[in-house]
Amino acid sequence: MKDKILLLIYLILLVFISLLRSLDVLLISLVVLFLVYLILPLKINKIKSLKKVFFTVSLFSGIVTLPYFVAGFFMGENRWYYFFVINLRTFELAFLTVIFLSKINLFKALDFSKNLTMLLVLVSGFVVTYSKTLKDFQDAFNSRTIEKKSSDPRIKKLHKKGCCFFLRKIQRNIPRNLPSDEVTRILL
Amino acid sequence: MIILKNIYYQYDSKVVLNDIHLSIKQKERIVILGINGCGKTTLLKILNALIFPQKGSYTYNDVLITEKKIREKDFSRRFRREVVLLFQNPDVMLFNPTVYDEIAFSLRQLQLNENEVKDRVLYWANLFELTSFLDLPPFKLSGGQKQKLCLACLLAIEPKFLLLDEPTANLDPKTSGWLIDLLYDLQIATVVTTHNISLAPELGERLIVMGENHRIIYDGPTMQFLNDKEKMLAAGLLHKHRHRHGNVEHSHYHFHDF
Repeated sequence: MKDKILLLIYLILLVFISLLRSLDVLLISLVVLFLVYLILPLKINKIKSLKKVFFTVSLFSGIVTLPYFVAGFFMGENRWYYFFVINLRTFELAFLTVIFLSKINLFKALDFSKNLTMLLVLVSGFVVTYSKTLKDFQDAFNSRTIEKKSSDPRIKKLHKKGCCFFLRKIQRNIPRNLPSDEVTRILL
Repeated sequence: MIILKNIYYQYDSKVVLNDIHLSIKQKERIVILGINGCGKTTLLKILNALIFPQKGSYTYNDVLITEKKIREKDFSRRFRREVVLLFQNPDVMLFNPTVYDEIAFSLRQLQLNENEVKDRVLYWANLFELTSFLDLPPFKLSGGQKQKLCLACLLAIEPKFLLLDEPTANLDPKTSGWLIDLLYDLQIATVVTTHNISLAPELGERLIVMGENHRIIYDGPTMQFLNDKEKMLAAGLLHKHRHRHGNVEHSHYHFHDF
């Protein structure tokens, strides 16, 4: 029952945070969440999880909010408020998910539906199997990699051709009346 | 020569290896036995410098193996060529488009010219009966053929230490026999982990037994251990349960091969 209640609280908080528009309220809720995170005994590495949250938010910010903000800058619109609100909200949602996922046993929380539980078992089984296989694959690749940088002659040839192409392009674009030492500086 | 001193390793909060002392000489044939989860695979990964001990030291030819050391290009090149690991699941080792490219993968990294690469690929493919599959993608091979291919890839670069993680686990008896013969003829050090107790004497003259406490509980001649019932029981390799011999039902100590 505990897990079901926690899941319900998580869903309610998720909706609540998604609806927040005030920067002040978002900042206060972030402080509260952070304190809860520090005080609560969680079965996870707190620093590692915090890094993951930062990474997720940075990724989202880099793809969605930052380009929108930059576009606004060129269009003469001030989108600072939007930038902060959306990123803070994303951060809090990710943070909340990390906290609750470490506290909720999802299998118990969703056991009201047999199909849902079976689906969850199936999915988590696949996730664990594939992540183990991926780790083994990476290990095997590292183990079989003698040269860190590929020295495949075809790749080398392609690399040489690429370098040659760019060098020629640069050479053609250097103004002819430049002194020779300036030409060397540009080429280097 | 490989020397492990006081090795300790844990995943999250679970201790996998504790106080491991081990030395492996050139051309030595070692077999590692132990129950599931005792740390055999982790030990092989440490020997192959894929993971690094949290305590203790690992030296290879008097060079201390650390994460920093293995990042050094020259050392890494020598180490990865001399110490190779055959994974339990051959599928994770195969990532090239054809069997030919798979064997050539490591050879090309040795900066051999393409003719030399071709000669070596054909030699190893012929030795491992893979010549007719050279143009096929590796995933189309059977389990035994994949295992052979992985071995061909590793042996093609002429390593000095061959680590094998349960190589007979997915093989039929005929292919297991072929593998034993092959390993016997190799003039390099081999370290083989296995569950198959009856194959242990064939795989190595020196036996290392890992206990449930994740420590080495035996290091010595293989046959000496296998003839000692008390030690086999302590290692969890021998057990007792009821079974039938014809119409007679009784129980005595025995082991199972997997």
